[in-house]
Amino acid sequence: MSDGYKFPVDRTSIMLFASALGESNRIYYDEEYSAKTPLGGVIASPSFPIACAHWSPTYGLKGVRKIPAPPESAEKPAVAKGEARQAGGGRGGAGNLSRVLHGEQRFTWHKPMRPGMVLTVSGRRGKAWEKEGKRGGTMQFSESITEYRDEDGELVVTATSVGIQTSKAVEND
Amino acid sequence: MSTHATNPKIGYDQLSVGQENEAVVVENLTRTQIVQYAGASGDFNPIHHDETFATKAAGYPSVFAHGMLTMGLTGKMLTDWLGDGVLRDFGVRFVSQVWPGDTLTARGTVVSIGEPKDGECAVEIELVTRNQKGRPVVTGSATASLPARV
Repeated sequence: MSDGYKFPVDRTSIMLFASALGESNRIYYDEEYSAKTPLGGVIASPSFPIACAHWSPTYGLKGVRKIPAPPESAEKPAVAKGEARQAGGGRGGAGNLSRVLHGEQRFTWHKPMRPGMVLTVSGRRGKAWEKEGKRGGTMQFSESITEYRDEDGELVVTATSVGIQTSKAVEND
Repeated sequence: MSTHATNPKIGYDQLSVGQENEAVVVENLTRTQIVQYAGASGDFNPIHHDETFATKAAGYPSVFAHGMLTMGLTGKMLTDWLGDGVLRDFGVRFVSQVWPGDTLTARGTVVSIGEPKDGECAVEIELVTRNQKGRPVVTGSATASLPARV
């Protein structure tokens, strides 16, 4: 599990994330407008913390991206071992990409996430359990908890994620 | 710790238990939006953008949206209704996949309004987002901290 990496929050990333959600809320990009609200400036949208994956050295779903490079000591990608691996954002990471699903996600905010913050992201494993599912065969669940702290060490967001490794494609109607 | 600044759009006294808010959060979801979300979030699992991988290797009928995209869309209903920075907690369970072409409607229902504390009340919301067939794709809950009428 990755821990203690830096996640610099900036207005462009916040804007791009909001754009992908089809947002038009100016609080996610317009400095002038946001400055006049009680928030006093742009803030990140509620699920933006997940975008810390861009900065996680061990995140398993980066496509061709090599930035940031994994740490020297990092093990080979979990794909090779066929093991579900928790990602920086707390999402179920690599493993067998075709059999990994996101089961649950929760965010708890302690203060707004703002551009300019340089957060320290650290993760730990939570519970793990197995279930026989009607639609996905044998399903292995694993929980991970990710904390985002600001420069003063204060908690900004806590994220809890449950990843699922299924034994087959989940059946649909 | 300083007070958590917020930009509420509604007061707790303008809400009552059982009150609902519903919004269409995406119409006819495009593969383009899924790809856009992959780029913004950093989640490049090919199951969300590579049709051949999703169908031939993974055995799904097509690519499907990231759960987190659906969570983000559900969050849009919450923030448009309640305001910016007011959420204290927001959790979902991904109960069914979301496919290109889907139209999603998110609904929030007030389940409780707490006692005022420092001028604000914790308002608990139950959530369900459904596709065009009425099938839930996301269920969950959220808590917002809201002041009186703004």
